[in-house]
This record gives sequence, C-alpha cells and structure tokens, in this order.
Amino acid sequence: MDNVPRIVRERLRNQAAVGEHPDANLLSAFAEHTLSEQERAQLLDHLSRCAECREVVALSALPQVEEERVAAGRVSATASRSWWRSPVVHWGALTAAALVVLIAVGERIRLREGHSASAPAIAQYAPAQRPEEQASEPAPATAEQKKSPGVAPAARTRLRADTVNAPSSAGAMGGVSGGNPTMEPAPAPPPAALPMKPHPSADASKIEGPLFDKERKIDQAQAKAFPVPPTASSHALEIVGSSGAAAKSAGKSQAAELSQGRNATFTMKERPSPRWTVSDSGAVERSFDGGRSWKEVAIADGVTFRAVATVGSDVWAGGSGGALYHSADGGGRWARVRVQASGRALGGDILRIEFADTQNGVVTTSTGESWATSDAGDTWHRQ
Amino acid sequence: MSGTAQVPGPEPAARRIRASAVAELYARSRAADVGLSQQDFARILDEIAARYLPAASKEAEILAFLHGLRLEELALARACAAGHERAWEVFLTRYREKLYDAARSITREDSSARELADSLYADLYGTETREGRRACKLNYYTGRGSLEGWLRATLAQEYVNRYRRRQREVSLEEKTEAGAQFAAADPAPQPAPDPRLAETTDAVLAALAAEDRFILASYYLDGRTLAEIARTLGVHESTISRKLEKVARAMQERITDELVRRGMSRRQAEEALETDVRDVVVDVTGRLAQKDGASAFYRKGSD
Repeated sequence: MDNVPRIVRERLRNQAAVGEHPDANLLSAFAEHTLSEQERAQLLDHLSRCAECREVVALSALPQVEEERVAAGRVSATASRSWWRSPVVHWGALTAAALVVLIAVGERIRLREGHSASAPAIAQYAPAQRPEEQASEPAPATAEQKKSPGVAPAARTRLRADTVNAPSSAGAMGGVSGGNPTMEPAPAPPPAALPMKPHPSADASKIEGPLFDKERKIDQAQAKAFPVPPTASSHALEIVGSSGAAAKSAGKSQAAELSQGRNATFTMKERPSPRWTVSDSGAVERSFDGGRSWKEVAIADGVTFRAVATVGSDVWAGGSGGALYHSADGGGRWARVRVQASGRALGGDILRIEFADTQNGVVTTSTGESWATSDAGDTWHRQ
Repeated sequence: MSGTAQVPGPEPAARRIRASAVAELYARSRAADVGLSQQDFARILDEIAARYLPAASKEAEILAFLHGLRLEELALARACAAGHERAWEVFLTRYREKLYDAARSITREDSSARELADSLYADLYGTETREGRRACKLNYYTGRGSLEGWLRATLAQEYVNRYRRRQREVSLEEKTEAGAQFAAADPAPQPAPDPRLAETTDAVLAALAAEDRFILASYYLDGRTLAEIARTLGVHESTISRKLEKVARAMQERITDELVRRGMSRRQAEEALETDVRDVVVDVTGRLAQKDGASAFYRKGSD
C-alpha cells in the first residue's frame, strides 16, 4: 500500500476529537453493525479523530484467530464426546470387523481342510500383512485413531502459532499488550480469586464468590430453562445439492476409502485452516493461503450472501431473503436452514451471523431482527 | 387558582405506544423469567427511548427502535442490576467464561486478564454506593448491541483507561529502565514547513467522508491490517484496499490543487507534498546509524 505524505499523517493525528466519547453501548453496536446510518456516521466521525476510541473498538473485537482457537478447543472437546457417533468411524469399525471375521474364517477353513489348495489364498493375504505396508497404509483402526481427539493437539498447536504471530491488537498503544509467545492458548481454568460482596437482594450463598468458580455450582439445566424450549415444529432442515440418500452414500464412500487403507481424515488435517469472506458481489469465498487468493464457493443459486461465520469446521452463510446455509464439514456440503418459530419466519436479509460456539449463535437481519439458536440451528427463537 | 400553569413534559415513550405493543415487547424479552415486572420493563424502555430518540418521535418510530433492541439481554442485564437472583444465575452461566475470554484476548496474558475481568465483575455487581444506592454497571447497558459486545467494549475501555493512568504514573527512570530512549534536543531547528500545507491538508481531511478518514487513521496511524478494518466496517478486505488507494490519491490531488490555488506553482506544491524537510532529517539519522554500526537514535516505527 502506498504511503500518504507525512503531512497527511501528522494532520490526521492532530485532529481534535469532537463531542463526548461514545459509551460502550454505541461502540459495541457499531462493531456489530446495528447502528442507524445517522448514528454510524456520527460515530465514525468521532472515531476518525479519536485514537483512544478506535483502540477500544479494535480491542473489543474478538480476533478472528482467537475465535477459531476458542472454537477449535470447544469442537475438539465435543469431538471427544461424540467421536463414536461419526459415520466414518462407524463404517470403519464395521469394515475392520468384517475383515477380521473374513481372515479368521479363512484361517479356520485352511486349518480344518489342511489341503494345499488353500495356500495361494493365504499367499494373497500375506503381502497385505507385511509390517512395512501396515506402516504406509494404516489399518482402519489406525484411521479411527487419527480421527479421534488425539489429533486435536496438533491442530491446536497450529492455531497457537497463528495466535502468536497475529498482529498485536494493542499495536497503537506502544506494544504494551503485544503477543506473548509464552502464552498458553488452551482455555485456562477459572481464576480462583475474586472476593465479592454479596448483593443486598440476592442469595449470597449462590452469588457470592469468585466469578470463575461459579461454573460448577450452577445447574446447567436451570440455565437452559431461560431460553425458549425447542419445539419440533420450529425448524426444518433440507439438504442442498444432495439428498439424504446421497449423504448416506457419501458416508459409505468414506468407509470404502478407509477399508482400502486410504486415510481421508489425515489428508484433511494437512490442509491449512481456510479463511472465509463474502465478496462485494455477494458470493461466499474461501482462501487456503491466508487471504492471498480467494475462490468462490458454490452454495445456492440466486442468493446474494451478506455474512459468513465459522466455528471450527462449521460454516454458516446467510444473505438475501433470509437465506441461511450451514456446512458441518468446512464447506463441502451445505444444508439450507429455515429460521422460524411458531409459524413466523425470519424477515429481511441476513446481515450478520455470530456463533460463540458450535451450538449458540445469533443472526441479525436488515429489518433489525435477531434470531438465536442454542442447539446448532435446530431450533430458533426471536430475541 | 394558581397563576402558573405547569407545562407537561414529553410523555414517556412507553405511554405513547399501545399497551399491547408494550406487552409484546415484554413477552419477547422474557423479563418475567428473570424477575422483572412489566411496569419495570416499561420504565426501562422509556429511559432508553428518551436517551436515543427525539422527544417528538412517533409511535411507529419508537416501536421500530424498541424492536431493534436486544430485549432479552436487556432484561437480563437490568434484572441483574435490580438484584434478581435468577438473573444472576443466568448471567454467570452465559457470560462468565466469555468475560474471561474477552479479557484475555485484550490483555493477552492470564493474570492481567483475570484482574481486568474481576475488576469489571465487581463493577457489574455493584460494590460501590453512590448517593446511598448501589451503583451497578449493568444499569448502563441499553440493548443497542449484544450484551457480550457491550461487556467486551466495557473491558476494552477499562483497559485503555488503566493504560493511560499507568502511563501518567510511570516515572522517567522507569521508562529509561524499560528501554525507552530519548532523543536529545535538536541542535539546529529545522525550517517550519509552509503553513499553507498544514492548513490545506486540514481542510481536505475535514472534507473527507467520516468513513474514509476512519480508514486512513486506522491504517496509517494505528497500523491496523486491511482485514481488521474490513471486519470493523463489515466489508470485504479488497474494498478497503481499493478505498485506501483511491482516497490517498484523491487527497494528494486535492491538496496539490488547493496549494496551487493559494499561490504555489504546481511543481512547488507537488514537491511540498512529496518531500518533507523532516524526512530528510530522518534519512540523515538513518545513515549515521548505519555508519556507526549501531542505532544511535530510537525511532518509533519506520516512517
């Protein structure tokens, strides 16, 4: 990027801030693009002249790498709970079991019959069991292990390096809060110390105490009682570009790859974490080289996309006419998600998608509506 | 009969909209679940509408504004401020970890993050009393953005304030120990640039759109990346890139034209913009440092 003349930078720096500093409400609404045009223009005018408020806006934006890191941690935790439910693991295990049975039966027949005709058949199996080939072509069980959470630390390590190399969000503050190479990126245990006074009208036994020690004391079921209870009729999911049968066949093909010793999972892990964006023309684009080049991702015809969000391998894209699409495999296959509740559907264009984790997200529309989900898009409620 | 007629003030916003609309907003907010009555909630809506809307706003405008608020989060925050136990339980479950994550993303260091988050939590909880009342920071949340975004912005403000306070308190010795080097007074005062240059630049900057000025400041002063600016403004990186080039080029042309209009020749104007006497000084400094094999002067950035 070309430099501007020194005098421009100097005069830009010396501009006097106008009016009072905006409060956290306006700054967060600005960052979330929910201000009216007039308010936004006024705020931008202030921000363009006030380095301090620009710093607050920059600091309060969760860095994208940080989002991915946090999401990766949560997704790997989820994966550790539900890895056995994966169709790939299921099919792989079944294939492995079938192979073991076949070998055992063949061996039994050979021992029982004991005639020389069985020798060629055994010879056909023999090369596949040589140690060097086992090393180069892992058995299905090995592939499953790679799919298991044991791989997650490697992925986290890569993200950790990204985090450390990311530009300091406090760069304009003289580097006071620059990246710390020794920072432990994994979610830290809750801090222990926070001496709190009881609130006068709250039950001190429940509220008092360290902020971050409270987690285990709170009944999660109680907390879930606050959002709208999910209803079966409030959501409909349809597969885009592939029917349910096609999805099943995809699962079968993955199992077939595993049975042939191909480690599809390993290949995917080797790919760099993609970056996602929406182009000016409303197309969803993906970059595998850190943003140097972008390639359009075909999701649906006739939709002008306005927002995209990622949480690990979950990708959400939304745009015109309230269209919302979800991919659970990093953009491979997409499903249309209907955002509706009690017979009322989301209105306007989707302008913003925020997912704090794989389950909890909010979409905001051009009409000012905000719809939230707490179950990965299965059900929604209007906020 | 009294001789002075009392002039009624503007009617509260919640009274200017239909009762059924208030009830709908109240239901949508789930304020009842966290212990807020409809009357309390209507009062909160009044307060927020009065803060952001003109007094003469019509019902439709008020309703559109109120429907755009994060009602559920607003009810939760205000119920916490009112001391409702159920609200605190929900708040802690939903936001405790996020608060800590946000603090860590700001400070990039665990112990400072904990200190920052704990400090904000104390403010949210309301440990200080003001005029006999407990001052709870959650009372300032108005639902314009998400509660999580507000918490992050509040944390960032606190962090910047702390940094500023600390900078004021740090002594010269501490700064020197920390590695800061101070340039000696300039032995030969440099000729001041033509005052017309600064005046013209100010005028051209003032005439820019606020967004263009924000992009310039973010990129050239704060050192933000194109991606960071794009995320802040909700546009594509390439849009920022194109805009930066366009604005920088247009500014240069406008400043040059204006300087010509004020009496400079075009060549003089272009040279005034391209070559600043202070750039020459910096170059000389750089050459001296190279010759000595060590950095003689501390230079922030690489202007």
